[in-house]
Amino acid sequence: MIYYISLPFFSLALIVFQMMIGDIVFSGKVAVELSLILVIYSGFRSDVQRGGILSFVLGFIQDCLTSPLSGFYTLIYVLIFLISKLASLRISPERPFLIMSFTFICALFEGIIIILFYPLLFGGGISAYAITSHLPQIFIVSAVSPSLFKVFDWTEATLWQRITAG
Amino acid sequence: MLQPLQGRLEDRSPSRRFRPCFYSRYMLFPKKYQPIIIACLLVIVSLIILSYSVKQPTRIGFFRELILETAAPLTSMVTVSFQDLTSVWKRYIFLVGLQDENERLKRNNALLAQEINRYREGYLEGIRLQKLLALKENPNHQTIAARVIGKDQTSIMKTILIDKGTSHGLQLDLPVIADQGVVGRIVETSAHVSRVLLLIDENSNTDALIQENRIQGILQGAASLGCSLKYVTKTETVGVGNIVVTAGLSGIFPKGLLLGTVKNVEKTDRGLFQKIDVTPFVDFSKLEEVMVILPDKADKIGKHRRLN
Repeated sequence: MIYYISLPFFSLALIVFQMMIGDIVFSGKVAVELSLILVIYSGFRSDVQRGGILSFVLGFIQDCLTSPLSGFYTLIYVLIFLISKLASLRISPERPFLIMSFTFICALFEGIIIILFYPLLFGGGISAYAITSHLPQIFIVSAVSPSLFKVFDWTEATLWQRITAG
Repeated sequence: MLQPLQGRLEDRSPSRRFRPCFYSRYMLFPKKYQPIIIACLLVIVSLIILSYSVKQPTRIGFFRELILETAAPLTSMVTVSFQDLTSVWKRYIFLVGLQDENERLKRNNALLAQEINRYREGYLEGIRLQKLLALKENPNHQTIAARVIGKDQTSIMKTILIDKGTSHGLQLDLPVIADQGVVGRIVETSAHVSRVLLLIDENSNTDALIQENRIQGILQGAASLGCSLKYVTKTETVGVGNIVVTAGLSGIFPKGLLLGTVKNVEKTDRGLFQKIDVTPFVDFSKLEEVMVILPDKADKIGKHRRLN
């Protein structure tokens, strides 16, 4: 129950933190979607109920803070979580190269969905430049994913130890 | 209704009986289907939220407003601390090249003072002519200052969050400016936070004109490329360096606000119009404070009457 109560606060903090990183390090030109890596991580490590709700909440908060439409990132994150869950049956999350490749595919999938559906839903257009400028963030996210998997592992283990000790 | 079914399940032989879980007890689904049901539910709920949001884009939901309001102090706190740190670094520590810059600015200042004098002359002449022609004087718009507390990080949607909302008198479609020129317009607002669609967002279309020769067009955002001025026919002459200002036709932006300068002009063989790239005056990556132009009382009354 503590998990579900703390989930919205934790998700909000994570999204604000990643916005700040993008702002401070990349002057707001490139997003470092730590939330996407967490969604993929939960696909490998959590069950459908916990991970699915985490992805849903993360996506919804991402929608509220960065997108003019609600439900857009929510749907994308839930789909990426389900893809990760299916992939976890075949891919071992212990191998960094596989994590990087899989994160790259997921980030690319996210980019494609945004580019394909955003103009349809919002009624605007997207230039070729916008598509190419989305690529650096895909590379950054996939490059940092193995390290973040370790950070998430460590965080989860520490929290679990504290909860069981308490 | 649930109890007889539950009883039937428990009456089965131990080998065929499955353990009743939350779903089997309350939703009549066996545990092995639980992940599939949760996955389907999450996808369906996401689709419902999305379709509701697409149908009613102007309505900000309760949860969305709650999250925006909760995130605003957080982002504001971090942004302000970072801006203060940067400011200390730039003002007191990193002073390399300050003397050169100072001399360059002094020279620029002298040149600009002369230029201002010429414009002052022109302005006074304009006032005299206006009086002669008995034209209606432009109203001085009221503005409200706001701090930028968040920038949209995705490369496609170019928006910023500001720390003022409906409680400060802001509403949808109000123009937002910075000291260099137009920033964009408000597309979403809650009590203490508003989202501003930047001029460089590809969904941003602003009626514009070239200051020198009064040629009109539509300034559309082109993400990191800046903007492009559309629908200017090939017969018109547009030069690099020409200044683009708002035309004041759509009723959102007042006339004459600075938008940008013409960076590049191309006349291709195909099509009726020229391809004009415009560099906005505002550096959107360094935005810290902005001004929101509030509607005039006369405009408000006019809008209210039109609505009624």
